[in-house]
Amino acid sequence: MTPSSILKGTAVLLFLQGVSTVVLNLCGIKFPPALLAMILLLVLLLSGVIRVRTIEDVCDILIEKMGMLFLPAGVSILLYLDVILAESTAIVATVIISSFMILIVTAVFLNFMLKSKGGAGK
Amino acid sequence: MTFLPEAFIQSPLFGIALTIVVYVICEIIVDKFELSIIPPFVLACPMIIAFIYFQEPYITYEDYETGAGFINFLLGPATVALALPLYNNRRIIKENLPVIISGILVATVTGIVSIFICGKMFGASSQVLLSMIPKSVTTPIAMDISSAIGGIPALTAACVIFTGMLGATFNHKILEALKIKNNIAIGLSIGASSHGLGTSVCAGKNALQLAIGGASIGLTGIATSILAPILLPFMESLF
Repeated sequence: MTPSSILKGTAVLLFLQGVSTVVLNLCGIKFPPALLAMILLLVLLLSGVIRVRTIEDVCDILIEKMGMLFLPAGVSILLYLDVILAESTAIVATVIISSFMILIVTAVFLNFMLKSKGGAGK
Repeated sequence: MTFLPEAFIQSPLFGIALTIVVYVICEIIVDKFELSIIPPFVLACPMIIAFIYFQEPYITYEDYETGAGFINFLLGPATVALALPLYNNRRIIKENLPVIISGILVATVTGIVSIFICGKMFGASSQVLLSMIPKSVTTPIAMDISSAIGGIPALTAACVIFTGMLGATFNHKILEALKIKNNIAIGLSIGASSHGLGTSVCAGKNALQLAIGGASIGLTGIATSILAPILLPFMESLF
């Protein structure tokens, strides 16, 4: 990990995010620009246009410390405390029920699919 | 009264320093007391909220935001960086592509439909309901989806964390009770239901679970951002 590898990687990430923002804006499509940039980066990595080495270091740092990056967003709950308190029952119940529904439905579905296919994932 | 001078509070330095310092302190706490199940974020977030809340009106959220906005901006590049784990797991993904894609679709649709129905049943307002829709997706993507469909990104972030904590604690116990032993099924369903926080528990269990879970986080993000805007108007017309 060198200072210039971090800088190079950052430049690539910001450039891709910039391109995605401009493209989505020009086309008038409502899609998260960073997500399009992620898909672009994946395609560029798979096609060998961008080498893993170029972006690896900065990606590792960003992913490892992602928890810190969403602190400001988490703190902005302050602005919505009254909304959250007013609907806390609905929020808590919905999150609990739907989280376990997703887990169970997906796991049972995949377990069945993979069993009929045989062998994979053991 | 606050003990901090106004010149400090109103400069971007305040928000940036508070975020980083509190996060580092929480990392040390988690490390020292071996609380690896609790991400430092979960400790740091209420600490900063309390710090600001109890010093209002001397310190306001806007003061914090002046500096914290810079850190918030980095969520964009961090989302782009998620391409790396997808790339690193390309072989496993390629080998099981049809199963993975159908699993992601089932998970995403189950999520959107169940959140919508539960939310309506428990009487959530439409803004809160929309904020909960992307709750199983990794935070930066979830917040983006939330603002795109008309939710409150901050509330979405809170729901995402709650979902992750719940998943990290109970996922493996539930799957064990259901006698599901296939590692692809376990990794994918955990990644799709409780993103990085849930998946991080797989690290101590099985490498295949972790790899599939990592892929599942990115793919669920893509699927939800495409499917949510399509499914929502349809659901609205049904209920």
